Amino acid sequence: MRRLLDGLWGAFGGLTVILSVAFLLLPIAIAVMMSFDARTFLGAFPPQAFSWHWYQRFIDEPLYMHGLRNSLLLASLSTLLSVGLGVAAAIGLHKARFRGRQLLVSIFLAPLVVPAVVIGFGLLVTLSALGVVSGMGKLLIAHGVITLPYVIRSVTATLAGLGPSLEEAAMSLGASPWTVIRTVVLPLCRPGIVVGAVLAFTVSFDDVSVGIFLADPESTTLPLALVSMMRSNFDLTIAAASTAMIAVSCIALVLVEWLIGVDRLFGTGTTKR
Amino acid sequence: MIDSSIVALSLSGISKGYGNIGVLHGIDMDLHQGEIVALLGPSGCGKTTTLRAIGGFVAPDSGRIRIKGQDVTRLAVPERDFGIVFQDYALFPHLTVAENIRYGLKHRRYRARPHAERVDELLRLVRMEAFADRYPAQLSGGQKQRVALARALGPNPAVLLLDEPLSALDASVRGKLQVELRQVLREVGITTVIVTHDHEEAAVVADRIVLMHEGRIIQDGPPLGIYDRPRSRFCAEFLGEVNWLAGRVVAHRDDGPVEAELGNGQRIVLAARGPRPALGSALEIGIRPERLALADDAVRPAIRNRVEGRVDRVQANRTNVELCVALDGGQSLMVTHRRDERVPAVGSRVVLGFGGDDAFYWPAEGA
Repeated sequence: MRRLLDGLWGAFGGLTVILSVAFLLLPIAIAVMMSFDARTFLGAFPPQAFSWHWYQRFIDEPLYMHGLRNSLLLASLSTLLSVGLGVAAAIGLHKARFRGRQLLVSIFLAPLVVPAVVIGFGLLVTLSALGVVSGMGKLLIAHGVITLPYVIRSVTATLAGLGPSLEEAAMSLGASPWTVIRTVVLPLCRPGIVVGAVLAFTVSFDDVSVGIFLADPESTTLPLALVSMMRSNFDLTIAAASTAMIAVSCIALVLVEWLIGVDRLFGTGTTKR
Repeated sequence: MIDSSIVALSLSGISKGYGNIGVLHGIDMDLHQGEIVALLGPSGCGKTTTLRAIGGFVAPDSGRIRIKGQDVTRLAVPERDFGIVFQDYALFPHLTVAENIRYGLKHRRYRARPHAERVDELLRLVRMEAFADRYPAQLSGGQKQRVALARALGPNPAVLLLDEPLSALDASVRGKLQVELRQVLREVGITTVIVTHDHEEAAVVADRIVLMHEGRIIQDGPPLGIYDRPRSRFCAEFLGEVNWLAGRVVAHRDDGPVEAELGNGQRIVLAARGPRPALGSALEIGIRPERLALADDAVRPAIRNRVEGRVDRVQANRTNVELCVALDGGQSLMVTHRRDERVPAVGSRVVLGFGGDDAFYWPAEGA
């Protein structure tokens, strides 16, 4: 009886996993497949023949290409910005022992829970009042705001696992506070930095809801271009563009892995064998 | 070995409190060059805070800390001449064994010898030559402990601090590593403070034990000395099992010993120690279980006291037999014997013998 129940639970668990994965991947798989449809109109699934022609139209459309260029530039710059600020903030919070530290943590992480629309509107008003006119400038600041919490969170999580004795040991071996950060803290939070950077890049690259308030025609990003095209001219170029976005995200991950290395990411040293 | 003409580490009047809670109340302690001292006590007694104050991780509210005569009380951690081994070893996980050791040489600006040579020498000292290129995650607990020790000794500091260095290890390897640790410390000749709550460990590793309780040093002396001559009930019980007897002073002998009468009317003689208790005053008398001999077996002529009782309970472990003997008059005594000795049966009557020197005593409180 016990064994039968265990077996049923096992089967139920397995089924849940399969359904969840299908639920997550199916829409993506369908969009990718449709982007290779040879028909020149938006036909029913599945596609009948293979063709690159939607991609051709994607590449030929200046709005998309301009948007792609803007998105790549913006995602790269805002990742640099939020990694720089986020790592500093996380280390500062890690070392800090002052009153109000917890409040500061909450403020830093607030953009994760505040609706993006609110942030977008708030920044629109604020940045106009401050006289920031450049669309790219506004977007960079806005994406810095929404990606920063991801970096702070992942770096903070890594730091929390370190324990105080590593830094104390380094000090006892003659290292000044800055040397301790450079030689012990930063190398050990590399996994958190990498994870934070990947998240920041993807969040920025994907953003619509904040960008829609701030972008001007010159600084339109790829997701914003997709939204506006969807309203005016709904066809499978959008599927092709989406597939291209997925590809960029995957390439970002692969690049990171190649640059830093999975063994470094998950550590020859930092994890047990 | 120990050079008692040089005080390598000196603490005077160290106090520390957090809010209203006092953690240390005036710690005074001097370590001679090359001496190994154990700070022993239960958790919360202030031993770790004392160690951290020496390293500069905790700033004392008052008092002075001197390392080799230099007042370091206000110096930052990296400016103090010491090395430390933490309970969790705190090896840098992203550096190899050799790189971990080299870290201290580099940042302490060690110049006596080329660093590569010094690393090899330290690896030999702790017998880890074969592991120079391993990462800490690839080492066992005992190996990590040895690397942490080598790293702390690397820059040749004046004082070594060990914070429960063996407590994270299995009991099976701990005993061996205690002996090994003492050998390495002796070989290097470094002045060492080791914090531990294990009195066996303190006795094996240290030359001197400083027993702490509630933020104060309550006794200080060689390991066997404080075991045999505790000066308080807390000290006696912290270091091992004790039988307590209540007595009353009935006579002072000419040559010094004190004669006391137990509750059951039996008289015993105790060697004189410290100020003489007044005639008629109440005493608290302690005797270690292994100091009680079955009088029949006893060959020691020094034994002067005999008490009689009935065996209540017998319990054997790997090496010893424990007897619980109920004395005539109600009190009972624990007796520890080697297992190969003849063991009396439960219910049989026995005579227990002990020397006047085997017991310790002080005036009973509230009497």
